[in-house]
Amino acid sequence: MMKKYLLFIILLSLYQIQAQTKNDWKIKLKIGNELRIPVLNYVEDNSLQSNHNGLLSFNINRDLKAFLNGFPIHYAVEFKIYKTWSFEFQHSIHYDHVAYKEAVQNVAGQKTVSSGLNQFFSDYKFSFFKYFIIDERQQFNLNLGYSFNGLGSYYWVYQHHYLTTTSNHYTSFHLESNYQYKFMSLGLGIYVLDQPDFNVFTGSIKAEDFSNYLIYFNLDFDILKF
Amino acid sequence: MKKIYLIIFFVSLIKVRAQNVQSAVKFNLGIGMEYRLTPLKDVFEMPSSYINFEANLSGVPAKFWLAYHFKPNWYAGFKYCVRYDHTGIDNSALTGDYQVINSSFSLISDYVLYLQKLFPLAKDNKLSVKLGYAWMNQGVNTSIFENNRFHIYHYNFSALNIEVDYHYKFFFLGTGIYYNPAENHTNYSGQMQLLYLTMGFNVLKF
Repeated sequence: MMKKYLLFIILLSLYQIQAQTKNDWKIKLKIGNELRIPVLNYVEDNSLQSNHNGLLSFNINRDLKAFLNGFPIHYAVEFKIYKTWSFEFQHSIHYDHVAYKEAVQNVAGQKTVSSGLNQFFSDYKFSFFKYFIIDERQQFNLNLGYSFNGLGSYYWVYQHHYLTTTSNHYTSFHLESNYQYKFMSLGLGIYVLDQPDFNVFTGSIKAEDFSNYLIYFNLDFDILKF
Repeated sequence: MKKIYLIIFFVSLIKVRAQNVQSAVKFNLGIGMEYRLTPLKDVFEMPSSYINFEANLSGVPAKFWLAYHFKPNWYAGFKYCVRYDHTGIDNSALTGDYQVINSSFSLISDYVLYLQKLFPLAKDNKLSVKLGYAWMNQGVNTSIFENNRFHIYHYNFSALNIEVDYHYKFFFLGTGIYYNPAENHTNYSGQMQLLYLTMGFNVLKF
């Protein structure tokens, strides 16, 4: 009887050690998606001026709301720096609107219908995390970081027999909070667009014409810890 | 007591075998991603604006590699990167003035031959430095009709590749650069310096 009892204690201790070590990760891999939702004050019909090398001036028809909102999927790798602090790199992939096909909406006074130009583009997101452990299964985290968005969203503009490329690159700060239960986390965050580097939207657009922030929901799954 | 000796003997045998397996590793197969940033200044310049090298070179290729372990802490390897990216413009889609069109996209490959030196730091941690030679932009070819004849343009080039990685167990994270110092090429001119971040997994050792 005593032997069985001892065996039980040993097995229980082993299980507890294993449970502790499971939480003792150094690198974590995650997959998930974001839902970027509309906020007020977006410009729906924005014919913007963009200068290219000071040579030409185009009126490019873009829809900021369609471009900035969306449903990107992502994967991420997170490194524990110290106890409840970590650093994450995330790569998001979109297939979304970048511009309308007509550079100007009205040619010679006629109404034109222009379909959207959609393509793949990426975001690189760098974040610092602070965890607040609630219990073995639940935790809460806050993260803060900087993102490079709209990477790869290049397109060509043809006007007066000249071809040139432009893109919808922009950068942003973000703040996000997540509640994590076991391997799943749900979060809410905000992107604050970094105006000086928001290169394509400088021009005729005025700061008061659109909101320079984006609200998003986040869903993540931890797929591997080691 | 005999049983204890027997257990020790078997444990030793297993350890010896594990060491032998470790030293017998000859090949390493891995998969990963590269996150190429906007090329640094002096990116290639084209005589005409049918390709945007900034769009073409900055992208997110997937890669796999096979490395041969020829000496302790030394590997020689081959890396293959592939991406679906901007190659230029197909202006046959243009029907008039004031138009916005997207780039032509295609699968683009890079081949890299490299030497890798590992620097063990602790039990599961290593640093490594890779030095390689890359044949880049394989598959970016365009035919342009101008002055009553077709011109074939190849936008492939070679580059030096240096990469520094931090390894933790089977995972690594690193940064590197592709560098082309030449000034004159057949279809374009200028230098190219392309920085990137990278991560990946060593998935198989045999």
